Amino acid sequence: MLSKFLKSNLIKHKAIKVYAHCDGPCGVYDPASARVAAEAVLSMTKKLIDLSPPENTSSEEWASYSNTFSRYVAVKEDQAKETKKEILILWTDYFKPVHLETFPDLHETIWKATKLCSACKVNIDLKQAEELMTYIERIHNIFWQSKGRSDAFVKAS
Amino acid sequence: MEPSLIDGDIVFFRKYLKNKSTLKTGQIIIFKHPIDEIHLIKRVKTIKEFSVEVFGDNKKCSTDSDFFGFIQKSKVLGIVTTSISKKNFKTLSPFFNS
Repeated sequence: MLSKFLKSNLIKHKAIKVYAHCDGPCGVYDPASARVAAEAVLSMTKKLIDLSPPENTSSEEWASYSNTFSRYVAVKEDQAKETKKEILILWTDYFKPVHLETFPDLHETIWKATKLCSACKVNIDLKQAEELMTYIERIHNIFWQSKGRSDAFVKAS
Repeated sequence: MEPSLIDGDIVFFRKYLKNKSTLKTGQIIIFKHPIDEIHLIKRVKTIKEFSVEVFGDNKKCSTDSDFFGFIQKSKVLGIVTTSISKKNFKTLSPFFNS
């Protein structure tokens, strides 16, 4: 009886997936994900600044330049979005109201960091990319202090 | 939403209709995430004229109104009426395949 009812309902109505959380396994958070993505943003920004257009009109060289430029921009934009996503996961899922009592500038820090992600996505600006890294370091420090640890901020590049 | 709902459970819901449905405190609702393109499932805590405050039963791990604030009623898709636990669904699954 129940199975018939369920079967008819499942066939009639398309099932949708709903979540009780926004991300992966509960309790597994690490600002390293944001740091790696932000480092990629900084690296791509540096590469874009260093990239010079061909000095001649060779179509092959221009095609190669355009291809490299586009790839660098695509990676920079993708990683800037990834950085923002990872920061927001920490903000919305890990940090709790109690953390604000210890770190009253948490919201301000997150807000500025995510704004910098957007700025780095749309611009080729070394200063903003470096500033983003300083905010990532602040978030790293707040995160580990909130866990009673003092893990060093180590960069991959 | 543990212990009320566990990952993999199946829920049935009735559609939330803006002018016909009534939300009540304690109901479990399905709604669109205010930022991401996903649907969330949470319990109703407070109801205002145009918005709802929601919370997860597993408070320690929940992403809810504590973080994203009130949910606009227009974001609500449905009110959960019944749920089947993953374990019971597995027991019933042979019937679905027959």
